[in-house]
Amino acid sequence: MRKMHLHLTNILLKKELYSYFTSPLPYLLACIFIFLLGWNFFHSLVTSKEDQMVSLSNSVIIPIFGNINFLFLFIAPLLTMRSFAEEKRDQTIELLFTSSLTDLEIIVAKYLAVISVTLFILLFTTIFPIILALSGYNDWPIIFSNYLGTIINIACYLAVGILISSCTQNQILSALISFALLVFLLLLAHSSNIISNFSLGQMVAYLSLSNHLWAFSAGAINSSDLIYYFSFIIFIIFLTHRSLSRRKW
Amino acid sequence: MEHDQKVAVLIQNLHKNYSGNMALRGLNLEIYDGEIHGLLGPNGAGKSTTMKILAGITAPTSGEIFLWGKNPYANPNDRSNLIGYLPENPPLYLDMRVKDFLLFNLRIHCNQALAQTLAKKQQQYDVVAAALEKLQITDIAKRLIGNLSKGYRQRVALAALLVFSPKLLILDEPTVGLDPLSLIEIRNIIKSLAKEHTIIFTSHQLAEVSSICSAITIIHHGRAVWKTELKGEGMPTNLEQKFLEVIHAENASTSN
Repeated sequence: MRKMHLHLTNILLKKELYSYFTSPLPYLLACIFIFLLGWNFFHSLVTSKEDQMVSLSNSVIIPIFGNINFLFLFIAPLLTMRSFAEEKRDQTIELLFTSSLTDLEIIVAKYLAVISVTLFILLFTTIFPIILALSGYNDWPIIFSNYLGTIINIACYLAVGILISSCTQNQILSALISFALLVFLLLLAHSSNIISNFSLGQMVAYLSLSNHLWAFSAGAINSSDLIYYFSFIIFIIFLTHRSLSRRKW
Repeated sequence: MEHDQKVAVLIQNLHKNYSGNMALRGLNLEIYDGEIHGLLGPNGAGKSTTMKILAGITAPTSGEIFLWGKNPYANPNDRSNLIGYLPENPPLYLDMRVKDFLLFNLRIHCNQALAQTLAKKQQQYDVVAAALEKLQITDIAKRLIGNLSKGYRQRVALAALLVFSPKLLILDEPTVGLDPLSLIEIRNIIKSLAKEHTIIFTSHQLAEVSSICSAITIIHHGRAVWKTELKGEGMPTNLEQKFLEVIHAENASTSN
């Protein structure tokens, strides 16, 4: 197997970023996202003032990051739906298939592009810790672990979106199926509680994405959670690679 | 007939099965260096499938293809600047400017050898400028592709192939939907390209094929059923009549 050529990946990554940032989608999503979070932040602040017993981390930071992860259940499919589906519909995927790029390089470039757009949207959320810091809040390890957990968790959402986008040429269908699959992965955590078989329940709970986010929320970075997340991403990218290469030589 | 030219494309016993539907049933084809080789056939005959397989987009179910004696399909790097493929709907990024698109196309088709030749950015710009000039689209270099007419888009798509100078050009109905003026211009451009490239060309316009191509193969039911020799020696005077004869004869033999 040929080794990855980073300069080729970089060329496609730049082109993808150009396409994203010259379209209104990331800006529109960022506006809606930050409006909803801002409203939620203000509401949490007011509530925390009424209940002085609860720390700002518990009353504001952790709920805010919970909501970021929840909102990205909707945003991630919208960001990834065009990755492959649009190229297939417009047949520009054939341009990439006949180029020097391997399937893996195409997937990595598109994945990194959508992660970059996500980081751009998340950049706006830094306003919330800054506002809290101005009023004396200084629990930075909690903020760091929440950001890390959120970015890795959303990276899993995006990997699922890219996979589904590679299976269809209909962008709307791609977004809907991705969303359904992400909700299913979220609901696995709740399903595990009602499974009577303990071992099976544990296994189902382990597979749920959200169960691995709790430790990050509490400020703990566990290697087991990191291994789970990275294994999940690698497995989904492997499936995307299979999905693309079944069409080729 | 003996040919002085080298065999550029050799297709041996090519089969393609799309979920039970046999698109190709043992296609054999030889295309010589420097030819403009026309592939003719009714809809569903297997022309586009053959072209997609040649371009490396789709895998055949069985059979072999050699380009200039080598099988370049295992590694994208081996074929990326050997084959230029233009499908019926030109693959263009409508949100890009013409110049940027050509530069992007050059860069993603660069294998190691070409990358060394075009190491400096200025050399890449020069290649793009030459392709723009060859297709007479220098004046639209800074325009968005999405704002161009179909004729200009077709020229941009052709220029995007020329930037990496592939030895084999595969053109799937490149003149479909063009106005008469664009059609004549694109035809002339294709003819001029034959000096430096081997070209495989499809069209449903038989008159167009006979005026452009130096050799013709008729494909029907996934097989090559008739082939001319070089232009001037074996080209039938009435291609339309010959085409109908071949197709009817093939249909009759299949039904028997």
